[in-house]
Amino acid sequence: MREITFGAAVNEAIAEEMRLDDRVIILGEDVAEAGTPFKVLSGLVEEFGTQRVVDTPISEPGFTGIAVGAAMTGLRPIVDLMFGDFLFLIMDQLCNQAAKTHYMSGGKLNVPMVLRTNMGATRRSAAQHSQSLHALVAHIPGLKVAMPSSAYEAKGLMKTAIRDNNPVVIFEDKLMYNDKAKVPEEEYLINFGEAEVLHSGKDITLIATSSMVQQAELAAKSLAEKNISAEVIDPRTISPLDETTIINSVKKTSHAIVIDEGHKNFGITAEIAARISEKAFYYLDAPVQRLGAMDVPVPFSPALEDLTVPTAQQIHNRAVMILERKI
Amino acid sequence: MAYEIIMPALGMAQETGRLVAWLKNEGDAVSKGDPLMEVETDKSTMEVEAPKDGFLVNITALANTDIPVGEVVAHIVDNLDDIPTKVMKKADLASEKTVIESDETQKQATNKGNTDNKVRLPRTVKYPNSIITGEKILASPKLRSLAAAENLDLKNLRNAGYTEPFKAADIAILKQLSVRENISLRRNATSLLDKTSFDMFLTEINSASQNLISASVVFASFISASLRITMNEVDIGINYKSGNELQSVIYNNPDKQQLGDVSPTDLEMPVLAEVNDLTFTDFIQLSGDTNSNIIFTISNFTDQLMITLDWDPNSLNQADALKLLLDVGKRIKSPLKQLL
Repeated sequence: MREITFGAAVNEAIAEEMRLDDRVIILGEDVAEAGTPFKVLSGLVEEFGTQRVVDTPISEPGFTGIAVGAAMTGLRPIVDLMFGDFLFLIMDQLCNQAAKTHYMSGGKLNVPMVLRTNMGATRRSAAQHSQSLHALVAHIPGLKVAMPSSAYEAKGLMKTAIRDNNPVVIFEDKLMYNDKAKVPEEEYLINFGEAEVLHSGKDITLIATSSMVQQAELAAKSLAEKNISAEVIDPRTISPLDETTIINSVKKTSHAIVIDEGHKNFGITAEIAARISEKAFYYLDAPVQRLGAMDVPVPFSPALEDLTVPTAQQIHNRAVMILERKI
Repeated sequence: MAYEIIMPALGMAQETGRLVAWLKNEGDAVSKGDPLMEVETDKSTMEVEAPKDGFLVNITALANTDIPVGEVVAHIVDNLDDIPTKVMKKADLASEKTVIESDETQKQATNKGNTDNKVRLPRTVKYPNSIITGEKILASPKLRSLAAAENLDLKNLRNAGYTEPFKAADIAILKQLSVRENISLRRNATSLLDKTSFDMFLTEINSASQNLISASVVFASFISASLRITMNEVDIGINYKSGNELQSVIYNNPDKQQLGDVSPTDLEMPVLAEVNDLTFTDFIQLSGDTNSNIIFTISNFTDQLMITLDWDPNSLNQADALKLLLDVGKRIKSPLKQLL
């Protein structure tokens, strides 16, 4: 099977859906001529024109609000938010309007909008361009949150998001855009709320999202050399969350580490660990462990920045500690 | 039924409301919708209406005072006999909870003429000493569920000196410890019997019978009869082991058959007791390797038989065990009586 980059997979998903449905438009800063700073959308304006690939002024609340209105009145907009950190600018448009319109209108209105944005540190972008804020969005009822961890997932989840009749926020890891993976040429979708078991094992369950999936897989490989069999689960969407796959795995292994690049405090790791404690408590043989971004603003200093994000080595060490009964 | 009248919240961030005046007096009959009291917040004044028909009682808040939102200021009752005995301020509720409960239980007990044995006692929240002193055993939830399913006590792990927290892998050790504990808990008693009568009896019945009747069959039959009396069981299966290799056969109700007809059964059946017959071996004592609740060991001396009964006190009390052993002994000492 051919291999393409994460960025190309996103581009392909959007182009395919735009060809299928002319209500699909994309708007945001530098999406047309520039094709975004990460060059993910290059070529779209040439094919679909400036009517459907719209460069907006630098006003996130403005263009997100326009998209919410356009979605309510019949279009299927994709909003491109250049950095996840800018979510703070569009909280009202996203959380008060997009998330609640279907509910507040008694089901008469829908907001079929996709917000594609990014997350992830270690790109030396400093504290205001390096955050992973997906937990913030997943907290709001009415918003779906997808977190692709490969080119394959990026394409399948994007296509499902565009066809969804409700608002979906997709977080892409900005360090992953050039990573290649096998992506079929024929069309496919990835259902929301279906986790993938990337690596099956019996001793410990590693639940990892987005950027942390690769780290968890590396850890599973190094653990295998120590005769520890780790199961790696990628939830793919954190809202809805495939609780069943996670709980069943933990019931089997009795040990779990949850890994996510958002801050550890009040984050995704806490949520998943809590659900495991609620639903698999009597199967646990050690406390559920969490690895998240350090609870500090992401430092600009490369040496310091690298310390704030969980690594495969940390996952490995933590797993060994659990299984050697040091936790 | 008493209905509570509370200080309402009239604003979003309001913590107290000022009770300006009562518009009804204690004991007044009120109809649903009647204004009961006038309440003032920093923004407005309003009247609080009666939510139902009845009588206004238990007015506990004074006019011209600030009352916390949510606090009960009076009750409405259906008739004047129903006045609640005690009205608590919200802040006092937590500390006085036990008082309320015991009042209620007393009332319940009185209503039921004190026939209810399950009177709830006042609840005083007190942590067990173990939590305070760190005596609580640290064990993973998984091990706890495994141990609970097999009725094993985690204390055995601690007493044996293993490091906490205990994990699922410790279940194997815990099982071993518990088996050991069970065995040490077993009891035994031994009696020494003159065997002259028994040997004569065996010679005599064998001269009269066409089949050879072995001592084993007689022992099994006597033990079965004694078990029937002591244990009150209908079906008695005996796992009978004899010879130097302790070959095992099962007898089913041997006391119910003619001695000449008793033979081992091939049927699967529950075994009530186990007999180690050492009379034709070089051993005189043997500790069991099974968990049978009742184990007899019979061994041979020159003129005597030694019979040891080993039992699990959970399934047989000492009085019954001794009765059982004496009964078997009586039969062996006077075997002829058994035929009468």
